[in-house]
Amino acid sequence: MGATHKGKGRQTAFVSRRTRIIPLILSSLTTAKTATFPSDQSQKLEITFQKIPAAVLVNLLITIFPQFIPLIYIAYMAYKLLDYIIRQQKEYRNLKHAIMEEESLIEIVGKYVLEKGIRRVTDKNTSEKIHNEINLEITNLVANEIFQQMIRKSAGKDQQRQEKFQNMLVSTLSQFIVGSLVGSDDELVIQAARILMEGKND
Amino acid sequence: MTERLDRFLQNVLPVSMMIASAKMQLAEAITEHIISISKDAGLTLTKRDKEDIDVVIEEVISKLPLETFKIPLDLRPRSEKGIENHLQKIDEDTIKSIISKIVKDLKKRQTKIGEYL
Repeated sequence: MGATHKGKGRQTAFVSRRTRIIPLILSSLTTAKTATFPSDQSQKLEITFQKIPAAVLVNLLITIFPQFIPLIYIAYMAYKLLDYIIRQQKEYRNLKHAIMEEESLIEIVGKYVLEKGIRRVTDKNTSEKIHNEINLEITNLVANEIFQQMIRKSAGKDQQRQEKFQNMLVSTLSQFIVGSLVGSDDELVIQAARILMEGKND
Repeated sequence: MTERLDRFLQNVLPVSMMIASAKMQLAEAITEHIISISKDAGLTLTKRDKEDIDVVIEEVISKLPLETFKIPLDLRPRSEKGIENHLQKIDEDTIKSIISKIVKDLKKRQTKIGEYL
């Protein structure tokens, strides 16, 4: 008991570490498995493995197989990259789906408004929300240097006139865009909406 | 959709610039008109009064229907003179209704000129 083997049969530090760690890991896995999934062991063990975070698994593997550190590291990096690509693809698919839904919603709303002749959206909150959102976007857009140059050109050097012109431009663009989306009885806005919804310029 | 949006902006942006300019010119003309009325009436307008007039006029004019300005959607900006010509096309009844709305709002705000008008 407790005697150290000497000579050729003596355990190396690595073998001794692995001998100590493997039962510990197996026992902790078995405990977790039985605590979580008392029956159908083969299937549940797989699930238990999936629940171990990748970083923990890598640390365990490095401890057990230190001679494979570069390989484990490469595999881990490849796993992380793959995971990142999969997540990006999923996000892209979701985003694309959302954009397509939004575009078709705009088209449906536009056609509904134009074809059925309904000029006002009855849900005031929706209309106000769209108005506020668009107004904010237009204010940001008009703050762009290209617009500021156009404003200076049209309003002259006077700061007050420039501000007044900017407010008028924001209100006009909002009227055009909000009106095209939620409907308007303004003939000019209806013409603009036709371009946006149907591509017609007449 | 992108192509339609491009066409929409190509048409809407220049006309919006012209309408914004027309709105500003109209606002300035009405402000001058109201200030001259108050001068004729012997009212001394403070800086605050003038600011109130400006705010009310801007609010009313910025919400006017765009078709008021009689600027066709396919018109491209040419000159200030061109915008003035379009402004002259606004009929008298429309101008009267704009001014009466401004007067109503000035009264609502309990401004000196509003009380006088």
